[in-house]
Amino acid sequence: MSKEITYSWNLATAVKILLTLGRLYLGGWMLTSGTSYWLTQAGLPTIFPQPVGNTPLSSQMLVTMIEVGLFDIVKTLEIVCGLMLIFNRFVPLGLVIAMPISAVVWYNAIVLNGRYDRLFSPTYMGVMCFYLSIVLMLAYLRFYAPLLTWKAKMGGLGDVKELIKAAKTEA
Amino acid sequence: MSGSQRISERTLYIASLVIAALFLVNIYYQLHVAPGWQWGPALDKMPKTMLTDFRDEVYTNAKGGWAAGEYIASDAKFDKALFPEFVDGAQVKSELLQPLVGDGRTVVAIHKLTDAGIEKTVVDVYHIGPRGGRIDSIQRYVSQE
Repeated sequence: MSKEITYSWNLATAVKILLTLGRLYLGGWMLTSGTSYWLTQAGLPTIFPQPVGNTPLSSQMLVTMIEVGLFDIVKTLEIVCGLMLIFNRFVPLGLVIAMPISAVVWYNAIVLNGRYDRLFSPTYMGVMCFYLSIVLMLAYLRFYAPLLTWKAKMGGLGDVKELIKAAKTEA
Repeated sequence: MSGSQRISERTLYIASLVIAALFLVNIYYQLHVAPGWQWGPALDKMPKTMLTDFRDEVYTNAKGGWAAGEYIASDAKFDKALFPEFVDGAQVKSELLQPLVGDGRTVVAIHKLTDAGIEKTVVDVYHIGPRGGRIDSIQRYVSQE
């Protein structure tokens, strides 16, 4: 039998719904972007042609990343984190994966392509994916708080058990 | 509306997956349908790969007219008089003197062109459009030998 969740209609609930929608949209975007690239690589009809930048610097970065094979990693990670976000599994980890990808997308969109006029455009995922990643990471802040441990001591091999334990935990 | 209400976790999860599916459909529409891509062999290839395929069609398969229509944007800037090979059946041969040089969306071909038995060393500078991947300008420099 499925667990019952008690809620009431208030600001906190509304914010949670908005954040959940943000998680689902970011996940959907990542999944689509990664899948489109791999469809091309597999010789299948793609979802959209891979952008290769509007300015020389942006083009250099994107073409080089594709030619040296770095996009294979990036696009695979996009699919992995997209699935994590959509299916609500390992979400804090999914956001850690999404953050550097989103940051580079933002840098490419704004700095390299010079689209400063679209810095806060709500319909432009070139910037919104980065902002969504930040906001969602703040929503899951308690999972990242231990990273700020001031003086951290090394652990041992036994800590691998902690990973397995965490993977089975609902929090 | 106020007061506590209850909902099963499974119902919420299924609802979230339905919303995700709707988002995916919307994203697919925004990226695949709405831009109105002019799909063709030039699209979704890296600049050097696209140029290699274009050159194969023009110089190996003698399909210059077809290739120009598919790979070059209709408003591309180039001097058509300098490109006799851009017609179907043209017997113009090209031999690259060094590999294609690519920098972002600019690709340079340094090649030996043979047209009606006359050989010329030619440098073609191709520029490829930002999205859609078609050639939007070509500059041809012919050596004075």
